[in-house]
Amino acid sequence: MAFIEVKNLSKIYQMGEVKIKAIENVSFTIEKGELVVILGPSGAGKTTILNILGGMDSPTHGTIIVDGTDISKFNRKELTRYRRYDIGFVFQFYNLVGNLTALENVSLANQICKNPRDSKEVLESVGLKDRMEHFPAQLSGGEQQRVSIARALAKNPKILLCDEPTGALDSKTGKKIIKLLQDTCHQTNTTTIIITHNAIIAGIADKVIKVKNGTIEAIEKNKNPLPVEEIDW
Amino acid sequence: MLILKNALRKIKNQIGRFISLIFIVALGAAFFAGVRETSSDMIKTLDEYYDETNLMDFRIVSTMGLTTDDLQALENLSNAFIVEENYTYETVINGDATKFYGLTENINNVTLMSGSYPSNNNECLVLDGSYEIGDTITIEDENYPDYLNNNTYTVVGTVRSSMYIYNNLGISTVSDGKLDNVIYIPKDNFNIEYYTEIYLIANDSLEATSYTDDYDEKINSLYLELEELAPIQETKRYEQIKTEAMEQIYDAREEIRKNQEENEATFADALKELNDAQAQIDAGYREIEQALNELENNRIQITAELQANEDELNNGLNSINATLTTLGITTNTIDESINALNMQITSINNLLSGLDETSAEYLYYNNILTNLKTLLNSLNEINNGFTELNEARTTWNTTYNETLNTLNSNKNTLDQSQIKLNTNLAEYNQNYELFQEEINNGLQKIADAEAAIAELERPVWYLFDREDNSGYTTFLESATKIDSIAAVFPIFFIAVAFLMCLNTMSRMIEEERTEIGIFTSLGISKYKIILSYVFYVLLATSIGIIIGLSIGYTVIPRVLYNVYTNAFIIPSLKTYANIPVCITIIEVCLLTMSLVTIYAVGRNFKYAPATLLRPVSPKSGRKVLLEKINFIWKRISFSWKVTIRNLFRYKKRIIMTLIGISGCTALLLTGFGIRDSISKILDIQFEEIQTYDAMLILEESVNTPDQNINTFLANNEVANPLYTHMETLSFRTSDKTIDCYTLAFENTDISNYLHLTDKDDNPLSLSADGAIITEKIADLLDVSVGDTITLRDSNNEIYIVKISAISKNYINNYVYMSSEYYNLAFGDITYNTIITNIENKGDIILDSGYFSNIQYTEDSISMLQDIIDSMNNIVFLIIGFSSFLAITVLYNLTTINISERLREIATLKVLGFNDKEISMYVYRETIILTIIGIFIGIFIGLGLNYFVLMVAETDEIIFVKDINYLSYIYTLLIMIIFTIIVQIMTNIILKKINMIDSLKSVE
Repeated sequence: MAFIEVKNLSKIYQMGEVKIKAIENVSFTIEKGELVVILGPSGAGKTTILNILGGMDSPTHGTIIVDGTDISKFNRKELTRYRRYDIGFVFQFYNLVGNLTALENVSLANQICKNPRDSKEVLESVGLKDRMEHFPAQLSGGEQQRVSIARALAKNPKILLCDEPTGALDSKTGKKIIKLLQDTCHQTNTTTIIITHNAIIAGIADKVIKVKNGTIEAIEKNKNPLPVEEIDW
Repeated sequence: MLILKNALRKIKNQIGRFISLIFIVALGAAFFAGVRETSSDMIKTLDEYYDETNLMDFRIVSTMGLTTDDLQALENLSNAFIVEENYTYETVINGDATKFYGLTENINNVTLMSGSYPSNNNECLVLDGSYEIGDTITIEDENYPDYLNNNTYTVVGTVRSSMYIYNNLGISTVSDGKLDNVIYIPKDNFNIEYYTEIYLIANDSLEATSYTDDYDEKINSLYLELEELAPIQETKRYEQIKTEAMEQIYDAREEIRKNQEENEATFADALKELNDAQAQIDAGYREIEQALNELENNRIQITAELQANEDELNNGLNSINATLTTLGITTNTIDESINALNMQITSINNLLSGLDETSAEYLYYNNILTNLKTLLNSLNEINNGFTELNEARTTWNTTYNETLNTLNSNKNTLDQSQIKLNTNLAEYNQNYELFQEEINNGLQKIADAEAAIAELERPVWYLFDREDNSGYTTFLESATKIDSIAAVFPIFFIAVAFLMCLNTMSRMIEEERTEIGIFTSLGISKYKIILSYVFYVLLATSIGIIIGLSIGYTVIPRVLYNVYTNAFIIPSLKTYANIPVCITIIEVCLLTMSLVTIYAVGRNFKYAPATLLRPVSPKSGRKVLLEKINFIWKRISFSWKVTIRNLFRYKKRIIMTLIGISGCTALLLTGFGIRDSISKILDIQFEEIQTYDAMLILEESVNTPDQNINTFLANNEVANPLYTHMETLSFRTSDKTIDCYTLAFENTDISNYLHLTDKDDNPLSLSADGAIITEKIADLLDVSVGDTITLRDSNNEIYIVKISAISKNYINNYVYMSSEYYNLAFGDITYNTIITNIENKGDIILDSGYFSNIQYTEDSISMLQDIIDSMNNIVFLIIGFSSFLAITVLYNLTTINISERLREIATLKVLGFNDKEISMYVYRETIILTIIGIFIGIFIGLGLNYFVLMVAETDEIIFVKDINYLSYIYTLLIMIIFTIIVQIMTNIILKKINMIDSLKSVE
């Protein structure tokens, strides 16, 4: 059985009389330790998939089994626990707490999970050994995203979910972040899902799930994912 | 137009914010307007009442009454608008000092509260709350006819009088000096020759508002006229009285003279008559005396004569008898001798008839016969003589006895006359003495009257104005007190409201920065944009002001009025919207709110629209000072570190939260504190200081403890009676007259009933060379031990009292002294009151007849309890408003806090923080601030409580300024409850925060 199994997933928003189908009949599987890119233009439904995978939203229909547990019927409390212990989230706009230093931002996540990694080590591993005591406002975009990644990793999550992690960064920095994510995925065997509209990034993934108009357009497996250095922005 | 529509939509979308803005403005405006307006409403209400009832501006009382001439003179004053005369009479009824007034028509009119006006002279009106309609009032004083025509009156109506608006009616000239009741009767019930008082209203004074300088100015010209007129009328009256008295003396003297003249003659005639009668009687006696003497003389003479006859006859008889004896005849009586002789003569005749006439024998015998015949003749003569003598004797005796009887009866008659005469004489003497006495009395009276005229004092006019009415001045004081409170509370509310508004608006504009940017880039002028926000704010402010003013002008003044005027008998408050104040409030609110908005919006325009469209670069975090103290910082848990860091991130909010919370705490504590203080003074005053049950007012004052009363009390198990002289006197401060109870005790040990201590709780005892006065007197007069104070009775008589100690006391003002010192300072002491514990023997005590009245301590307590109960209203007002303020402030601050950190919170949710952790993340700051705020608030509250109580203190009351532990607990509990309520509201908001928001770009 796959690590993540999504079956016939649908999400329908009821807006007064009108029903908007954000995604319909989405099915895919992800193996443990895989680096997956969910690719699609904006409005295709990838954020909905992310929200459901991340435990921020529940599907209208369908099941989603993560590591043997069906999270599609989770209640509010169970979803919180799921987010808390199983998910590491990397935001497009980093979402660091401005009033906390890099180290503290990482520790913040540390506080709430069972088996956290050492904050300093994680920060070191993302290359911010010397920036730990800095506040977000004192860090560059890339550095902030590294902190964000470190914060996600420190929780030792089952799944690392990244929402357009390079969306707010220039290509050079974006590449570095993607590299970091790829390295981390491979080194720590953490299942990593990156959501992006940037097709170039798809090259580095083990599996690419292409989304269009709320449905899966294609699922492609990369036998030989490219190292980040080789992709062209 | 579109911009305005946009503003309206903002209201709809963020209705909570709009409403909280309205509430804040409403609270500020309500409190500001309400408290500010109360005193002016109060004064206006009373002014209207004074005008309706034509409260006098001046009252004139003279030591010798006032005449029609006085009235005329007063009416002629050019500044007098209305003048009316009246009569009063003070007496004690059932131990209560009661003052009777004539019902006036033009000045000091009473307002009928229930019942009807008297229709006849046996009906009366009373002040509302004293007697009931239908009660009968009987005057006990037997001298009432000197003043009134009737002594029994039936209550037919109750009234309110602007002269007596304070439940402390002032001082009286009778009983214990405290006026207890006022009764109104028709004027013609009075039987007094002179008017007791005359009231005046000055021109234009009714148009002026009482208590203002304008009023003082308006009455001043009449005052000057009165000052001028007083000596003239005093002199007139003096001379009139003197002349009348002199005339009366003259008439009296004339009368005496006439009386003397007429009666002296009558008495002289009577005396002469009596004397003549005596003379006649005396003459009668003399005559009788003479007659008796004559009779006696006659008796002696006649007796002697008869005796001589008898002797002569006896001599004749004896010689005859001797001859007879020779003839051989011895007999015992004359008759026998005659018979014997006759027989011898017969025998001789017989012998002779046989003998010759010429014979010798014959001759012999013839001779013998002749001798015998001569003898017989003699004997017959003698016998006749005796018979005559006996007859004469009998006749004399008869005459004598008859005469004597006549004389004796005459004498008896005279004796009767004499007795009668003696009675008449005694009567005469008595009458004469009476007459003399009468004359002497008359003369004495004249002498007295002359002496009185010699000592006749000039009459003195006393001029009283409204300021001399304790109710009138006390009322102003109450109103002024509200003003001083008005100075503190509303400023606080306004300041909070202002800060909250600023905070809300800044936040709103920050949130809508992008929108502003869009509008600007679209080319809409910045004025229009500003206008849209100003419109938003002004709409909220206007609604807030309308709500605030309508509450402020109605509810708050009523509550304050009821609380502060609890001790007054006055009409209910009329609320006036004070237009200038209204406009000021509206202007100030609108202006400040607009300025705040313009400032908050305007500062965005210094950036180019493009900058506005970009998110604000986040403020850099900063380490706080505490982090440098490593050994503490190390020990603080991570979440607390975050909290502390966050706390210092928004300094503005810390300050506002602290102000809000500490302010509310302070207000709450003050509210509870006020209640504590008042209830505490009751406990201390009546359980620690004055521990007696009752004051028994003696029917008749005594100079020394009365044995009968003591026995009576002992028989009824009333122990340790403390004989006391009690009197209400007054003292004057620079601007008012204040009553105080003066108590002088027979016994120097009063520890059974009074526990006087100085401010350090050292017991005080009575001394012979000074009085103990209570704290408030010392405060008001600014005197200390060793100084003297001046006390006055209702006749303005002055007494100087030296202070030997100052005692702790909370309610009323007292001057305590020993009887020795009373004798020294006031003159001879009489005891009119007994202080004791009677439990529930009141009826027995009153039935004994020794006492006219009982003043129970319990009654004073329950009266004060009423005041305390009404003070609860103000406490609830304060608590209510502060609670509302507290919730609004906390809610407002928390929601702003949340909206500022929306993204952060959404992120934490995504990271897997559970609801509790998120609430705590936000709320930990509020908790810390609440705790700090409460502590600061308690300190401010202590000060505020002290201030409010200082202001609320009257001339008769000192408040204890301590606050009960329980009140701290209540304050804490309420604050905790508010915090929890706000947390619940916040939790609802927090739960609604959508995690998806964290994915959006920073706005």
